[in-house]
Amino acid sequence: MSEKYSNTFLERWMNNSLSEEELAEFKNSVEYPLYQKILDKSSELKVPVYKKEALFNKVQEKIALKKKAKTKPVFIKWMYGAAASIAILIGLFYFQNKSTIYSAGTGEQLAVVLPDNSQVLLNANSSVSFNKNKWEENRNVELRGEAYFKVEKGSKFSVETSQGTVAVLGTQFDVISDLGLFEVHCFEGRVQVENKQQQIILTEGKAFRQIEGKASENWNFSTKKPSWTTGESFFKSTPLKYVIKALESQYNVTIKSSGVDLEKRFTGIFNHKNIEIALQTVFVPMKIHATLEDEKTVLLVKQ
Amino acid sequence: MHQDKKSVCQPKIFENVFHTQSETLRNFMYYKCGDMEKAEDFVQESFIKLWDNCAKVAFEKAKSFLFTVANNLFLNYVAHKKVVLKHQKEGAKNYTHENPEYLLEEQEFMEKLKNAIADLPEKQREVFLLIRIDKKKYSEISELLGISIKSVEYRMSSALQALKKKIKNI
Repeated sequence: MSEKYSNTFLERWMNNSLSEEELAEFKNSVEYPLYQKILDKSSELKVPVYKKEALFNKVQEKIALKKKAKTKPVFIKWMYGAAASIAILIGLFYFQNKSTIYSAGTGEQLAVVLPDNSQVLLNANSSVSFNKNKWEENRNVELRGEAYFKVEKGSKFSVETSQGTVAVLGTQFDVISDLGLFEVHCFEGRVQVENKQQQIILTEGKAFRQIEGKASENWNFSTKKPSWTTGESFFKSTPLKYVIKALESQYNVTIKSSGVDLEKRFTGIFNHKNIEIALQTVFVPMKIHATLEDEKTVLLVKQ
Repeated sequence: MHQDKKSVCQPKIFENVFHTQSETLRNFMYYKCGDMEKAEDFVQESFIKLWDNCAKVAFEKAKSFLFTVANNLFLNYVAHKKVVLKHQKEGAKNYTHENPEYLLEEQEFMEKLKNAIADLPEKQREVFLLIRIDKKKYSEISELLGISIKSVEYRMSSALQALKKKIKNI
């Protein structure tokens, strides 16, 4: 039996977008009462009662349990005897797998020395984590944000980010992985960059960039160190939104924009000392009017 | 660039997301698998996943993250049960023509309706019930399930057609 009223017709009926004539005709049809009744009666149906609080408590318990297992070191009084030794064994097991995290807050930079004397310099709002106990087996760090690495020669050293992995033998390089931006500069030696789409090798003075998984860019540069390690941030045709992000991280401000094209590319430098000068150096050439509303807020308006 | 500072990592906000989303999520999972215990397990697991990933999931994306995670959990879970719904006892005042025969007919209709709903394909059932029972809007369902409004409308009208056919044939 084919249906007299099509899906599209019913959709329009439920959306109240039938014309008056259509509706009147439909209401007179044999089918109408049953359709209407199904809708009416189905909204009288009930699911079993929901005990929201109880479920939320369960979720919180589980989260709390997990937290403890991950980070709490185990302190135990000796009087608990045998039970304690078992607990210590378990504690050691967790300890073994615990990773060490270093992070630099807004406007900060942090130098970290890894167990093999390799150095990591973290830019603002960035963090690295690694497993101390497994360091000899694999030199593996996870990175959020931007960092400059000076790697001691040795086994493969890899930096994992959400957007790809950078692996090297012994070299100096800079990695940015931030909200869809993945950028690597190689300052010494050779670096292998790998993500879902491709695998390439960068040599000294070569840089690689990919934005939101689109086509990648390569270019050469001649500086010996990342600019941000010497008190300023350099950008080479970088979409404005990432420059704004860097300004926010550096100066701990919120930058609001209206009607500004955030995809427009910016090439240039801003310094880390004076926010007003930094804002001018970035936004004046971009023909954007930047004003400090208060200490924490910057407003951008197109000129 | 103005960034919303609301982060799911803040316990207050996390709790708030739970209060506003968990019931729909639970019902949604129930409409899918028909097992309330399992549905609530899925809700728990999804919220724990959300907490674990709170730094990566933007506040605005939390809803659809939850629904995607729960849906994936469901896909990994094989044993489906039949969806059993209850229905409200009708308030006597609403009806003037209430006689035993009428009540019996209504009772029968409700049984038919519930059976027909239980027999719907899962995708039609979840949309139909989210709209009829949870009173969700098409646009909201489209956001939660990551499908277009057109698809929501289509699932809804297909469900209605299927229910009508089924009830008529019984």
